[in-house]
Formats: sequence, structure tokens, C-alpha cells
Amino acid sequence: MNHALLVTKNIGRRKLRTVLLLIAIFIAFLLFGALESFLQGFNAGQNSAAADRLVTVNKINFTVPLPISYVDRIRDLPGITHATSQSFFGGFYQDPKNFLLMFATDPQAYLQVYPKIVLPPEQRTAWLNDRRGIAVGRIVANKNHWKIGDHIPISSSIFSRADGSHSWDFNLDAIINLPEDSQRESVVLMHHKYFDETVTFARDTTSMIVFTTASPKLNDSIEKQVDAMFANSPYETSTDTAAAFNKAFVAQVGNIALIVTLVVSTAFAAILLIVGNTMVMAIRERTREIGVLKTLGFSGPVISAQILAESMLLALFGAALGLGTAWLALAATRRYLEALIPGVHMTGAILAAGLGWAIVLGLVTGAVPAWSGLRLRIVSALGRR
Amino acid sequence: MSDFSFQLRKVSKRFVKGKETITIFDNLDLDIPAQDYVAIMGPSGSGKTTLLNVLGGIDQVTSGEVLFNGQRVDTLNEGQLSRWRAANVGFIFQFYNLMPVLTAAQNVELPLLLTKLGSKDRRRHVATALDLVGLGDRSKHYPREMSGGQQQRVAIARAIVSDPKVLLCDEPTGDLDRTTADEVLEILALLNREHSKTVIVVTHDPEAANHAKRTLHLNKGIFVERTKLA
Ligand SMILES: Nc1ncnc2c1ncn2[C@@H]1O[C@H](COP(=O)(O)OP(=O)(O)O)[C@@H](O)[C@H]1O
Ligand SMILES: [Mg+2]
Repeated sequence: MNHALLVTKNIGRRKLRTVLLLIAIFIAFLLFGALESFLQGFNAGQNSAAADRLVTVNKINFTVPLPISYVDRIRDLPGITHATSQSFFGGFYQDPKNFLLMFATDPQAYLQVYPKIVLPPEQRTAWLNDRRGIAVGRIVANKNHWKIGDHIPISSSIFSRADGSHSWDFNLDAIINLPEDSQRESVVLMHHKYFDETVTFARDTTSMIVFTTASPKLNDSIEKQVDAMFANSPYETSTDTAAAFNKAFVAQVGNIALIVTLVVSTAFAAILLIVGNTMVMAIRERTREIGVLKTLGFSGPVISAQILAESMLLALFGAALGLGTAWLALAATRRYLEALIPGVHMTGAILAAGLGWAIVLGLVTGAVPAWSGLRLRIVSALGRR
Repeated sequence: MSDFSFQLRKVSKRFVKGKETITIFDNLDLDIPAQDYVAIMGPSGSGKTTLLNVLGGIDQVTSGEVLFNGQRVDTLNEGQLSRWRAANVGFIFQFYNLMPVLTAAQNVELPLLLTKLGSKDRRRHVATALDLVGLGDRSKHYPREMSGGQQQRVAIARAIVSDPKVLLCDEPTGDLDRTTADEVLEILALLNREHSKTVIVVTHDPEAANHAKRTLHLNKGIFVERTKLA
């Protein structure tokens, strides 16, 4: 026997109550782990957007195209270093559910706008010179088991070909490796030229123009300048930083960060009350026993430590179960999730934050009973008959 | 080393209840020599439990001095009292007060968790204490699986396992039938006789008082002593 055994014996004394508490804590941390992982997937996309990268889309919204000539007009403005077109292709592989984050672009210009993408020289040359070539993010390649040199048929849910078919044949020429930017590792990039000569509509247009500036300090004035240049034209524009654009994109899905925060904090508040209240009752039930322990010579601090250990053990065990299950669930469904939210996974930081919250939960729910255990007077605990 | 186990010097104990002050005892003097076996009797509410709690350092006196082995204990702080109790005093209650989640052996082992003894030594001490109360074969039983008399014997084993000088017993046979009560009283007498324990028993049971070397009657805050006739 030792103090630890005493603590676990106390936890086990009401099996049903302990199981219910663990389930409550488990659910809260399952939610926390899963939702935080989604959120970090969204944020990863936003953070990877360099501060000096701007995006221009149609003022109506990003699904309405802009003339391709705008790319050159934007590139020619002072303070702008590189610009590229980037058109949604709506690609999917084999099954419409296997949706690809696929764009038609000008490969040379794209690589200038995203200088962090470094392709092996032979892959780069192959892609730039192959009109049917695609460059594919590592995550997508792995998911679909694609290798360099593969011939890959891809269909579009938006466009059809002049010859009536819906499928395009591509050669996989290059794989993008950029672990810090999961969005870049999730894209499929085709030549805008190939796009333009095969689609039945939307020729000579692009859904967005991405460009870099000489310095983030110029961004505000350049944003205004670009939009002013196209004001009162049939295609008015809206220009923003890539980060803001990504945020706006996410905002269309709903203010996910806020929802996550609300759901998680509600769940936490609820279990804090449930566990805290239950701990208080559990310790109150044991008032006489605590009085006896104190009579035997167990000091107030020892009693408090045992009570805190009890609440801490409950919180940590429940949290470990919840976070572990969230991790397993994310790992098992990662293939599917990554098509929707590139980079969704439980990071070490989320795990650490979860365990941190578990410690907070253990401390807070144990605090009141530990304090009363510390202060409990033996004579009143032993009671008078 | 004093020949006295406990000495009370002009001890008063008062409770303030609203506007009223209840005096339990006033300027009480008492000497309990080492290896004494005292029974304390008296009407309900006369302050017997309070006296025992004062001796055991779990209740404070309002004024006066409490000495153990010639040393003041009424001046110790809470932490010091905890250590003092663990080392010197064993408590036995009317309702046994065992931990329901622990086996007999684990209950008996509890006080040893506060010592430096290793687990092997602890187990040896526990076995000795349980043998002494005649429950060597019940070590794995839980309190709910034992009779009242057996539970009280486990409580006695718990009280003596760390070998304290003094046993403070508050109506130890109050909840037992005659036969089991006598068994418990035999054990207390044995502990006094063979193991040199100072035993102080608060009781309503004349038989319990008969086992003692002397009986003190507490009434209205004063003692009337009656030494055993036989
Ligand atoms: N905390 C307290 N507050 C007020 N009165 C108390 C308190 N503790 C004990 N008393 C009173 O002190 C008296 C003696 O109690 P107690 O020592 O339990 O008596 P006994 O054990 O002889 O029956 C009783 O009248 C009881 O009501
Ligand atoms: Mg009493």
C-alpha cells in the first residue's frame, strides 16, 4: 500500500460516478482535440500566405473570372515584382468525391510568386516544357499514390472539353515538397495554356491573380492602386493580402475559429462545473474518513495533496482518452480530410495545450475540496453523536 | 523522562454558543502515570470525549497546560501535532472508523505510510499487529465483510501498529455485544499488561471500567476518583 494506491482506491469507490465523470472529460477533450486540429489546418493555410503576397479577384466574388490581360497590367505597376494567374479547375481524380485543389496557372510566373517552392532542376525543366505537365503537392501525390512520370486522367466538375469529353490527360512532371506550407503541398498545378486551348468557355480569363510586392509596406497603397485601375470597367476587382483572402475564404464557410472557441469553452465550462461539483460532493461524503486520517497523523497538506492528485488523475486520464481518440480518428480519416482542409492534424502544440487544460481542470476542480480538506477540523469531522 | 504519561494543569474548556458560554471543565488537574489503565465514566455530555480529544491533541484547551512525558503539547502547531500523534498516540473509536475501500491489512498499514519504513517492514508490522488482535487470517477482508467485533480489533491493530505509548479509546465497546466487548477489553488489558501501553478508556460500560486499574468519574467538570476495590 502507498499514497498512490489510496488515491486510486478513492477514485474507484464509486465506479459509476467515476465512469460518468471520465466520459464527460473524454467528450470535452475529444472535441478540443478534433476542433483545434481543424482550426490549425485552416490557420496553417493563412499563416503560409506571405505578407507580401496579394490576391486580386473579381469584385463580385472569386468565382466570377477576370480577363487574363489583367495579369500583365498588374505586373507592370511599380512596386509589383511578380504576378501570376491562378484559375480554379474544379478537378477530381476518378471519383467526384476525390476533389483536387487544382489550378491552371503560368508555371514560370507561379514559381516566381511562390519562391519557397524549389523543384529539382530536372523536374522543373520537365514541367515548364510540357504543356500537359502538372506539378503536384506531396500530400496529394501520396494520397493518390502518384509518381513522377505517371499519366493521370483528371476530370473537371466545372469545365468540359471542346471535343465533348470531360477528362484531361496529364503527365506528372514535378512534386512540390514544402512541409511548412501544407496548402502548397496540396495543390495540383496545370499549364494555363493547356487549359485555355481545351476548355469550351472561360477562355482568356483567370479566377484570381496572385502577385508579390517589393515590400509589405507598399501593400496598402498597391491594393488601392490596383482596384482603382480597374474601377468602372466591366470587371472591377477586389485586392487583398493573400492572408486576408484566405481568411475571407474561410469566413464563407462560417466563422470557424469563433465556433470552435465557443464549442470548446462551453464544453469546458460544463465539465468544470460537473467535475468540480462532483469532487466537492465526493470529498464531503468522506469528511469523517478525512477526520480519521488526520487523527492518525496525516497532515492537512498531505490530505490536500491526495485530493488534488485524485482530481488531477481523473482530468489527465479523461483528457488522455479524449485527445488520444481525436488523434486516432484524425489519423484514420486523414486521406479524406486533407482534401477539404490541407494540413489538418493534431500538432504537438495542440496535444500540449490539451494536457495543459487537463492540468488546469484538475487543479480547479480539486482546489475547493483540497482547501476544505486542508482546513477540516478533526473534532467537527469526527462529529458528535 | 517523566513518570507521567499525561498531566493536565488547570485546564479549562469552554464553548461559545451565540451569547452563551458553556464551560465543560474549569481548572481541571489530572495526572496519568505511564502504563496506567484509566477508565473515564460520566453522564452523557459531561465532556468525556472532549477530554480525550484534548489529550490526543485534536482539540484545543481554552486555558491551562497539557503535558505529555513532561513536554507541553498544547502549544504545538497543527503540523507538529500531526507528527506527535502519529508517533505517540493510538485512537480507538466507538464506530471503528475504518476505511471501507481498504482491506484490514491496508487499514492497519495506514499509519505506517507516515513513517520511513519500507514496504517489507510495513507488512511485517501489520502482520504482527493483526496477529496480536487475533485477526492474522483476515488481512485481505474488507470492513464490510467483518463483524463489529472484528472491525474493532482491526481498529486496535491500526492504533498499535506504529507502537505508540498511549491508547485513547472513546467508548470502544459501545457498539458491541457482551461477548465481543469482553474480547476487545481483554486485548486492551493485554496491551496494558504485556506491552506497557498507557490505556485511557472513556466508557459507559461498568465491565470496561472493571478492567481498568482505576476509574475517574467526570461530572460537572470535576473528577471523582474511585480506585478499583478488588
Ligand atoms: N464544538 C462544540 N460546540 C459547542 N458545544 C460543544 C462542542 N463540542 C462539544 N460541545 C458540548 O460539550 C459537551 C461535552 O461533549 P462531549 O465531550 O462529547 O461529552 P461526552 O463525550 O461526555 O458525552 C456537550 O454538552 C456538547 O454539547
Ligand atoms: Mg462522548
